[in-house]
Amino acid sequence: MNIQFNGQWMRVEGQTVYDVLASHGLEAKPVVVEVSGEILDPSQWRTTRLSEGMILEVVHFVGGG
Amino acid sequence: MDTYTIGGTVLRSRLFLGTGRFPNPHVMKQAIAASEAEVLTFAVRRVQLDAVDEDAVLQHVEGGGFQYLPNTSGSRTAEEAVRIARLARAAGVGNWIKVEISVADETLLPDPVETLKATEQLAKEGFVVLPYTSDDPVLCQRLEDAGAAAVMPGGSPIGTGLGILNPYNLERIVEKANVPVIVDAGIGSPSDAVLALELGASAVLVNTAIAKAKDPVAMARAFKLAVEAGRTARLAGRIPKKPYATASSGLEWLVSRSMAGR
Repeated sequence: MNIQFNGQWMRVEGQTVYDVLASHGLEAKPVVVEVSGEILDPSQWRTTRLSEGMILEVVHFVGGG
Repeated sequence: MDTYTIGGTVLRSRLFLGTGRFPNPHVMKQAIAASEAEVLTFAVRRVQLDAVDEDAVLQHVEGGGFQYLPNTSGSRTAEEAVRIARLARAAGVGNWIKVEISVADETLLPDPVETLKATEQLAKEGFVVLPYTSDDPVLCQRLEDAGAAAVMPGGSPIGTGLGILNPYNLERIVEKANVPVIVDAGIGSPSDAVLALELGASAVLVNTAIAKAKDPVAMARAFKLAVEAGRTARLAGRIPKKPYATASSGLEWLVSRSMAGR
């Protein structure tokens, strides 16, 4: 399956958003996940199924003023 | 105790500290401690997929009891700023947001129209909104009317260290404001912070001037002392400026003056 993850097209394995996060070591990090413009609560990571062309954004806080 | 309140949170420190551009997390943590800041600012960015911990900042400050103030830097429209604000709130570290919408790349000056729109929208959504704005007294009033919990006029463009370019405007903003005024951006040295507080600002937000100093930890302490000095002077009430001299000891009984003819 191909999805757009933080601006990059990539082929991913797995069934859910959680699987993609876990494959990048992000499942336990303080990140915020947005799928096609909608913010997902962490409780929805395991229940949101991947779909072809899905746009996934994962953000976090970085240093800033 | 001399305090001020933003969005129901009582604050004592007059220094907000930005967390960008520090040489490393260790120095940043020491500088935060030395600054005695209660409010820390952050930016929201995509996780770098090849280095997921690389620039994550929360891990270094968690548990410190800080009030977090994420910003919407990188947004160019109200819509983008609202999106970033919602993402920031979803991180679960509070509902404060610094609206920062810049389109002019060389100066990073804020877009007043988009800033006003975003402030209005986010206040409606229950955010505690602190807009970064140009130092325009009328605009600051409009932002307050739109629901801003504080206004953050820039002293000068971000990262320039040029200090407070228009002290007149800052005084007018302070005079009219019913919410705290936080001077944001352009503060270059502790003397700029003293001036901001003397002119009646409630606090200053400093990032580059501390993070890029030769010794960021010492500079953080210098800023802590500066905001205390400025605030104390504001409360003490400075003398008015006058064009001509007034001798400190009077001229009546000068030692060298002849008494003859008196």
